[in-house]
Amino acid sequence: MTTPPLPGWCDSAPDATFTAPAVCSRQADRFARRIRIRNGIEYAAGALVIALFGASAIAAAVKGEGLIAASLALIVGGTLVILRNLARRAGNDERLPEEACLAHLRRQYARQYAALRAVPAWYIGPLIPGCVLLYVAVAAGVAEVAGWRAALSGIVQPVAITFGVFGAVALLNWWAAQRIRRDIKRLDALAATSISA
Amino acid sequence: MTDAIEQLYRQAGAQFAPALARLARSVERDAEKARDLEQEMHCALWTSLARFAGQCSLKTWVYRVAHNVAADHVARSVRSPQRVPLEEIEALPSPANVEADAGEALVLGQVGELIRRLPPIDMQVIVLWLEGESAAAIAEITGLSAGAVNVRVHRIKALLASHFQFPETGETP
Repeated sequence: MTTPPLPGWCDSAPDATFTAPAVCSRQADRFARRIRIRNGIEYAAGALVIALFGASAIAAAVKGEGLIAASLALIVGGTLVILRNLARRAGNDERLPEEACLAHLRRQYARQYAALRAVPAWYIGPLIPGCVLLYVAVAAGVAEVAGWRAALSGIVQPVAITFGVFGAVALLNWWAAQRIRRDIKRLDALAATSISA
Repeated sequence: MTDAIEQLYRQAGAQFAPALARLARSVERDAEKARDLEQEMHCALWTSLARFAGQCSLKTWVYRVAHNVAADHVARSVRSPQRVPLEEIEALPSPANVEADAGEALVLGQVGELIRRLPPIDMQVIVLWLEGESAAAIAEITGLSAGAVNVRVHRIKALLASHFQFPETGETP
């Protein structure tokens, strides 16, 4: 350490002290509890979807509506896959703030990039087969009564809304991921000059 | 084990608590949020010290933890100014605190505002330089080369040149 270049900068906060270790322990407990609550809410939402769609699938099967029952069962399966992905992702959150700043920043960017890129495959993709089959089943049911023209014209709007929302979410995540990828490239270029220097 | 960690923590506190407070206040304008950030740095350091086995000096460890926590805080902030790399900044911005209207206080206010507008790595280099750390120490903390650190320090010196005189030596600062 040498003489600080700006007189006055180091004059502020001379009496600052560290937080007591006991407070840090309580803080860590609070943080762990917050994570548990967040995970609990996600799993409860998943359980609600599974219960509702599962019950509907059973009811449809009992009524002999096999295609509807299969589509609802696929949505339940998709939700289970999403919950497994959430659990796996939550377990990968290792924090190492003692890394050199460049490495830490790159790790954070890479984690965010991977999370954003994973949204279409991990969180939207598992629901697509069930949704597609559900619309096919509903359209087939309407077509039996009123013909395919009426069935298709009635289903266009809900299909457009559902897949439009899925597409918009995927697009927004892709766009955010591209921005982070540019940041990663900038950091890699900086790291390369640091290694070669 | 816990006693050794506590001793290291107290040692770090005695040496670096003011520097971490200044870091928190320079990246976070809101005083209450700055205090929360300061505490977050302390607690991240407290937790991390269980992994400290002399891989680097305690100073390097403390600054890395603090600066990384600060960078994570900046990344989480919803409302923050557009980040501009140091090489693209032509002049010091106006200070956020309008009362900082004279001499050194004005420049310190402007420097604080500049820091909040920089991308994380530039911000880290400048704050460490202001703390009086050498280019070699800053390089070890950030993972940049000493050359890359010197480029950034040269730039901030140029921005501050109209307000202060810096000795032209080979070593930062």
